[in-house]
Amino acid sequence: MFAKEEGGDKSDVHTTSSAQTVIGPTVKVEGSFQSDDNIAIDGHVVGTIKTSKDLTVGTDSKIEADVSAANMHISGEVKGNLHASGTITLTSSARVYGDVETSIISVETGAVIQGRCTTGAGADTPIEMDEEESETGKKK
Amino acid sequence: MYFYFYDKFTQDKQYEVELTRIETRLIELGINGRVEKLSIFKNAKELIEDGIKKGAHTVVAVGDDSTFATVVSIVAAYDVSVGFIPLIQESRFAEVLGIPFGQEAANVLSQRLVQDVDLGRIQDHHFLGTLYASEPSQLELKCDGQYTISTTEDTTELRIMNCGDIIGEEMRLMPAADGRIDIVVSPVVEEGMLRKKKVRQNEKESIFPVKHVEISSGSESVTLSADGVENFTTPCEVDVVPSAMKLIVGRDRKLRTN
Repeated sequence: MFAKEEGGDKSDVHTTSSAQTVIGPTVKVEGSFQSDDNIAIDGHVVGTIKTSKDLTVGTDSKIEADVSAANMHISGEVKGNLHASGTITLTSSARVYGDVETSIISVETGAVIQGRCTTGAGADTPIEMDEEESETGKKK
Repeated sequence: MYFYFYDKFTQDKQYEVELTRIETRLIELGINGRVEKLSIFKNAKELIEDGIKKGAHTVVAVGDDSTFATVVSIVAAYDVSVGFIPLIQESRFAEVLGIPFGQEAANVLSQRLVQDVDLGRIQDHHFLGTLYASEPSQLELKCDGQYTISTTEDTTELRIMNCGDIIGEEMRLMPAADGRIDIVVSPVVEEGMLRKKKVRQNEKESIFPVKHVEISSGSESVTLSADGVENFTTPCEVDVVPSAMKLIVGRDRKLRTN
């Protein structure tokens, strides 16, 4: 993520990708979190999360939110519905308590899903960023 | 008309020779102009604004990083270009803008390579680099009116970067013309018995690109420093002013546009 510039610099210069939102383990985010960037979460989020790009949820993260993204890679805990227009990947440490709606899903051994799972045709509706409510909503 | 703003310290004898070289080179290049020198009896804002009212299209800071940051903040309200002639070898802003030391800077000025940049704004103060709060207590940041960030550790470093943390321990650059400022929250961890180490650029750091943020810190006020030249206290609001300034830069600049 961080690249050190090449060349004979006078001082150490670091650059950070502009297209990335990072929610680290020492912050808590509450509210309607919308972004046009890739999002990486290792902290605590409460509310809703929407991005037109990709979402990565780290092992120790805790999310209490409906989540919409193009693609998701989940290793932590999510209490809420997931909607992806592309692929959702659940690793062995993923714990999802909510409905999952996606075009393609990949689930590792040990991942937990407690909710309805819809995949394939019909689940690949694009993420609409301007809407207030999540695309998925509570269906249970 | 070019307007050259000399900082107070440039009147020290040790800079006399270099200043003479610079002035000679400016005349050779045909870009000499009005010169005003800061002194204890003169106010920087009044001097620069007077120069602009008298027709300056380019204001050039002659001095160090603090001189440049001061000029940026004052000139932000006007439609004029900003240049820089560093009189110290280790100027961080000069390094980022690709401007060499002393009289060589005159050549960069004459080439007039101009780059539009955003500026961060806190109250009426504009900054190019970073707004910095060292180890504030519990912070709450309301971003773009949509969501709130709260810190979960007592010792946290907050930086709100426009084009980057230029004068900090480690220079770090962010896009300068993306229409956003980046909130960077880093925890501070204990190192050894008594010392604390600032954790930067690691997996514990958070980064939020935003356009507007309201900062509050409970009952205890936190001081924020804008590029090391002016301090503010919480609660406060910070936003970005897109394409707010035209900067004269060199070919070797490190300033990022995206």
